[in-house]
Amino acid sequence: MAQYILGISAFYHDSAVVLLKDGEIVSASHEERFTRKKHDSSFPEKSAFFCLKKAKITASDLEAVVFYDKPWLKFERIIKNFLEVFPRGFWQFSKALPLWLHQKLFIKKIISKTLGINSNKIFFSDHHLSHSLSSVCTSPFKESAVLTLDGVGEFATTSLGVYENNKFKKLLEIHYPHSLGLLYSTITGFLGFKVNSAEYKVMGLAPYGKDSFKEEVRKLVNLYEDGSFSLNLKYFEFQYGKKMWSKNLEKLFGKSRKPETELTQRDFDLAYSLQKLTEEIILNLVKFAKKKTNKNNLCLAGGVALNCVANGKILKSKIFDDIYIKPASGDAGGAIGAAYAYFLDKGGKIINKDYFNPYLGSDFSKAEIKEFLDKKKIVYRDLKTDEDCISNIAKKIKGNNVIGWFQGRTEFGPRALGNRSILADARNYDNWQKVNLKIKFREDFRPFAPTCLEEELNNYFDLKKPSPYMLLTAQVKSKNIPAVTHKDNSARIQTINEKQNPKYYKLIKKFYELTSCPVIINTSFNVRSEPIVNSPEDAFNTFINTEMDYLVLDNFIIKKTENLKFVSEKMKKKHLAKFVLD
Amino acid sequence: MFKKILNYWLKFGELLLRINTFIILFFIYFLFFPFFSVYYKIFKKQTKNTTWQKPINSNINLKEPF
Repeated sequence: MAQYILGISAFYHDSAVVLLKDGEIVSASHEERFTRKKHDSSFPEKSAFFCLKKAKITASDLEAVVFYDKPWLKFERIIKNFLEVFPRGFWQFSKALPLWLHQKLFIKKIISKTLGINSNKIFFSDHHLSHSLSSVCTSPFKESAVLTLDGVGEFATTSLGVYENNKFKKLLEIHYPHSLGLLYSTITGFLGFKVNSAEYKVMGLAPYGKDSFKEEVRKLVNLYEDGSFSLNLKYFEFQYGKKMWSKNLEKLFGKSRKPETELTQRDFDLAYSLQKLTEEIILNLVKFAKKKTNKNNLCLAGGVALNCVANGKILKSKIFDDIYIKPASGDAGGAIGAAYAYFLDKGGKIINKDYFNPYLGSDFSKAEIKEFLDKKKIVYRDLKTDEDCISNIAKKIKGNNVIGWFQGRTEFGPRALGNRSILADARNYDNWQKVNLKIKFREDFRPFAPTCLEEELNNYFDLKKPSPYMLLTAQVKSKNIPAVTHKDNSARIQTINEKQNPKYYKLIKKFYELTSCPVIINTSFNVRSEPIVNSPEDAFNTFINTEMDYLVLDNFIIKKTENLKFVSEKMKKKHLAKFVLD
Repeated sequence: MFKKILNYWLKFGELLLRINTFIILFFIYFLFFPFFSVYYKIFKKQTKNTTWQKPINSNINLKEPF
């Protein structure tokens, strides 16, 4: 009988579920994809039942359910924190305690009741162990150093471990409140963006600035010779305050920016200096990891590992021969590690494969899509074969149309990797603004990522290894793709080969044949603050309420101009109002 | 009408509950925390030249106390 293990992450941000069958991930989903609430942190009930249904099993078939952190240890840290900051922490105490007493201390009960499973089948991994295992168990390396960086888990904010002979051992930790993730989040909030959500925007803002706050940002941290760091706590209030930064930070950088107000050069420069400081701290940690473990490969995990600019710098530094970052590097991915913690604990053997398949979420059959289209009376064409569809859409991208591309299973992780994507021609600079302002309705400074045929990578980008999960940034060599070239001539690259995603690969290959350009724009299929679309209905709603030209659901092609009866300003406003701006 | 009155009382009850919770938390915080806080601050380890620490769990441990 097969061994099924369910991994769960929930209650902080990005709830998710992963199902392992005999040590292989068979399905995984973020709860936000079903509830349509970005970064939904509620218990991932819908995702859990989706995973069970997909595997054609019930909860009683599960050998274990593993939660991705230890609530009681985390509660201990919170109480210790209130003791440390007494009497300043009352406001946070009065907010946090009811939540803990009502919900977070009783996770076992919630899981047991929701899934209908015996509580002796429920286990708890620890936060950074979950991050570490999520990376090593999906990496191609049989041996590696493992570095995890995030806001905070139970006590740890940073951890260093080693993986060899199918065993993982944690070596060292840095504890709360000294946290690189919280430093980045504090400045994210200070710059008027949503904390735990919009950190990537600060990373995208950085190239517009210059290092004019180099000395000032240095005051926020103490760096030590062994790569560790501490925060200068007089600049922070996240331990006790309503906001994350203190008045001292405002004395250093001026007043914080109000959300949705105009960005100034101060904001650009602060983002730039913060990004440089982050890269310096990460490189110090990486050097220490090499010294301590003497391994050739590095696995990274935790929310900070989504900083693809820093990841690109690690690779370029050649401290390690190779690095690996899995696509769902943040808390959602912790569900993978939690499930693997049980698997390894029971003597399971990890098989490290060359490629981790990120297409693990919902999919819809041709019949289901057709039924939806017919029911809604949507005008469409069925192109029957993949070849016809690919050839048709490649021509449309060349003809400067913007395409909503919906195929197969949803990606697990924050990036759309060619199954729930908006595609456009990267050669046309105007597409940057068109997709930003008229389709995604997001800030105009934000760049777009390219997908490039893996075999053409070296001709277009200064990157020595493939980047299948869009988690590495490198300099652009070609002047032919301005719509995906950021202000500092960089791009966050996704490479694709035929094995990883055959239909998407063939589409770009066809586009290459037509245009001699092997690169297209690939951005997630959503509008600002909306989770990536999950179902044909989500895709159609987003398509019809934006200025996309075509929607491709499997091989069904829907043309906007043939479906104008669905377009109205009122519906558009209603659709966009559903999502709280990040 | 009945529904309106019921809603009003429910909201009032919820408000009272919140005030009660707040008062209880206020007493817990300001009566008990000062003693432990002094103890904690005296015995808290001070770090010098490094913030690396030995991990709480080096290996896989899937247990929770409750």
